[in-house]
Amino acid sequence: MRRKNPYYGEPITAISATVIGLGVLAGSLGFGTGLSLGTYLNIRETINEIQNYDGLASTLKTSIDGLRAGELTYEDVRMRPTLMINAPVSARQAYLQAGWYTMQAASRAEGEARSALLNAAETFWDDSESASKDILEVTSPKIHEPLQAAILLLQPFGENFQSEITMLYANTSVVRISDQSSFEKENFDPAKYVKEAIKDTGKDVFLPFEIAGGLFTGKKPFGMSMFKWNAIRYSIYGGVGLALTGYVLSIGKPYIELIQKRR
Amino acid sequence: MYPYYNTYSVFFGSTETDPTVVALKLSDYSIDPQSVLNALIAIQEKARLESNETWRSEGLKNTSMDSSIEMRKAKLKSIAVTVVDPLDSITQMIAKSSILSEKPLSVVAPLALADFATYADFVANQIIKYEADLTESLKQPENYEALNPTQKAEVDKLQVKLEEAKKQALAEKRKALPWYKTEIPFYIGGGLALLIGGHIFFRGLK
Repeated sequence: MRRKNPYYGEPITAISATVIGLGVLAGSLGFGTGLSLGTYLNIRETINEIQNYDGLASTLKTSIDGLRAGELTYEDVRMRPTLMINAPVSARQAYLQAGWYTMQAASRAEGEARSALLNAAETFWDDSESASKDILEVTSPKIHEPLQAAILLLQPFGENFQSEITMLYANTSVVRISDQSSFEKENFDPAKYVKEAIKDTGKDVFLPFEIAGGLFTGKKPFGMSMFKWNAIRYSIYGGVGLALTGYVLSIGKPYIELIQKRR
Repeated sequence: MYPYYNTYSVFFGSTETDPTVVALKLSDYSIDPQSVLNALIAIQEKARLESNETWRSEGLKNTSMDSSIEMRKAKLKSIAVTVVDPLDSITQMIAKSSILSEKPLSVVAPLALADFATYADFVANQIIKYEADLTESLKQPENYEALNPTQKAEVDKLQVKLEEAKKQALAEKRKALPWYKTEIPFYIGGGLALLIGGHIFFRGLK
């Protein structure tokens, strides 16, 4: 159906408009998917990097170098990984936090202040490389000193760096350090890992027996989804059923032939 | 150990060349930033302990306000060290303590909330005293009109900031009062509206 464009007076067709619309939609979806996938993969890569001390230290150093070279801006380094938000429990974490927040502040500073702060962030990073990852006492100076040093460093800049100073103060809180320390001792205890590993191994060893038993009782083995269990179970039932039918037929074949001959 | 860089010495110069006309000190009224910070942190700590105790008594062992209150304390500390103007600093600190008037703290730490209401009232009263003394000090030995434009601007700015700080303290005090958070004002208002409306409807306006 042809109609006039009331504004321009040019003939346009409804179908072509639809086709153009679909084309634009498909293009956008394709571009968007590609872009999203690329972004997602980048994010995944970064997340994997910053989930441990070594990856985080490497990201901090890369950020300092990138800021110094003018290749990165505040927008690129504004993220705050969990290890930087949680109260520190080790000297290494404390130094990394001091370096991280100084680096973030430096990204918003200019001129001489920027380079001074970047140098300080690099010093913190350097100290973190030789610092221990062991969980320390809540009031250990090895935790508090780097954070206090970073606070003193940023304090003269006033409200500009209030966000960073707040995080540094929050991470010197004895209550938060104590809570985090108890959590890590409880959850990252090597004895607990060994216990869980033995339990998991036991489950793996007994799994075939559990499956064999389950074939007769119908009871689902622990840790297996119902779909998977049914797929395994009915495959075995089917296989065994076919084998039994074949066996019975093979035994009965001579008799069947005998009967057929008598007729 | 680490390089220390003071930007104020670069960007703002020394303040000693321009002496203040206001001789009154906030510390004489116990409302200087450090005193306010110490008082508010003590109240926050009381709220943390009180809320934890309330939850423990109700059998909630793993519930606490530790993290949020410690974050709020950190915020107060960072305001105290970064906000240069003392009146701005105490205004912001009082405003940031409003967590005490919000649920769940207002419910599980009522004693700390009452302390906060009392303290906010104290700050507002001290500001009123300060304002009164400031006005008085400007009358004698010299009149406000006798001040030069820079001095007048300083006094005017100070009075604006005093008003802001006073308003903030009074607003937080009001929010922290027990009746403010309940439905009592709503019921009283609704009842009055019904009475007046009923009266007008049945008796008519004369």
